[in-house]
Amino acid sequence: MTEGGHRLSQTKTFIFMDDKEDFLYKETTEKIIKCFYKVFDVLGSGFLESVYEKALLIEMKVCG
Amino acid sequence: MLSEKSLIFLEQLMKCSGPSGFEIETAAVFRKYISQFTAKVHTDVTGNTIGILNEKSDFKVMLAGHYDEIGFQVVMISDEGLLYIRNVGGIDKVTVPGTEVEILTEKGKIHGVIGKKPIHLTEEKDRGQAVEIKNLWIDIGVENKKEAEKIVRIGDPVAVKPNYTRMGKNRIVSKGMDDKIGAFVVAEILRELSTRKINVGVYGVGTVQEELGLRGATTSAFGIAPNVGFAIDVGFATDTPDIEKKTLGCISLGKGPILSRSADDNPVIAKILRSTAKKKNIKIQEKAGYRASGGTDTAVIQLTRGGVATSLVGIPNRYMHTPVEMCDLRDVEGAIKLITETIMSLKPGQTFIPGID
Repeated sequence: MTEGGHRLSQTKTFIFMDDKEDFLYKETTEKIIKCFYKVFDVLGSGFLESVYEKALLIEMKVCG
Repeated sequence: MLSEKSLIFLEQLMKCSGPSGFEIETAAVFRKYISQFTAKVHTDVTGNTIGILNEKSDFKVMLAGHYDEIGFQVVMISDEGLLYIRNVGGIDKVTVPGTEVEILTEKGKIHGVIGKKPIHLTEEKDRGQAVEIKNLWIDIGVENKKEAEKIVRIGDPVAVKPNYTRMGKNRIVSKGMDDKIGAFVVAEILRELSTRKINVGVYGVGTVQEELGLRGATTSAFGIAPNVGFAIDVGFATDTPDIEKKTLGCISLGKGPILSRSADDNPVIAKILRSTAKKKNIKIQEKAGYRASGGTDTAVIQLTRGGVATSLVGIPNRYMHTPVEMCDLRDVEGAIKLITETIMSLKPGQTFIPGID
């Protein structure tokens, strides 16, 4: 049994844990993560990294 | 009961060393054994070994037991000829000092020990503290860097020295029980099904790199494109004094394989497994899954292509991710029987849609 789980579930667990904590640039971090999830929800998995990079850039511009 | 021949294979498998990404020895033993009774066996480019029964059937059942184990890798050789290491998979640093290991070099296995500064010389404040893995090293008995470099190369994988032992009436203990015991169950199901007439195609897989994030199951499941998938992996036994039952339930060694119900387990398959257990009088232990999803190959097999009806069958295990992982042969036999009989009851074309089937 893997101790870490696979990458995606690890990322999510990490974010949930941080919900309770205070850290630097909390609001900006949350905004960025929100954009990341929005992009992932729309595109799903399987594209090249550059596609996500471009989509994330567009999403971040939209969100200010 | 497991035959003498099966027990010999079990011992051979446990005595292999194959940390994640370097499973060559374990794969060879697995491949040789299943080749005796499967029409077709192949190892794919990531190292997964797949034994196939009834290939002509379009309805495919995949079995996955990961044959990689946790271990280390050599990262640096010091002037004194000592080998610095990093972990491969979720090693508990508390269990590392005092371990005997073998380094898998190009020319063969080399014996090594992971020592530690004597307690007499450890400062009061550091006593009882676990040493970080980066501050530990392997001693291979050489006198300097030059001598070490003749034997070992940077990147060589390292595994705990084989220590398979039978204990008591039914217990077995070994390093790498997680999850070579699952690969053993896969092989034994293939052996049993090869003596029967089956309606469905069966793809028994020894998967690689599970401990690094379920990697081998991801590629092998994509290649096979199964309708149904069973992952066989160790699950926490909670029958030792230090494990909280209120968060993990009551799971004991010897009381049967664990059937969980988490998001990874298809509800229709879950029902079929439980009714088979009842019909065939196989003891099982119920569990909610130690988290809502993930942790075993089941999670990625389920998400293959358009989705697969999966279930996890757990072998209760004490002392997971230490060099002395313990299981009970009765649970192993139960898992083999349960999955074999469940596969016998499946019909080609059967569907597993929650709430409908």
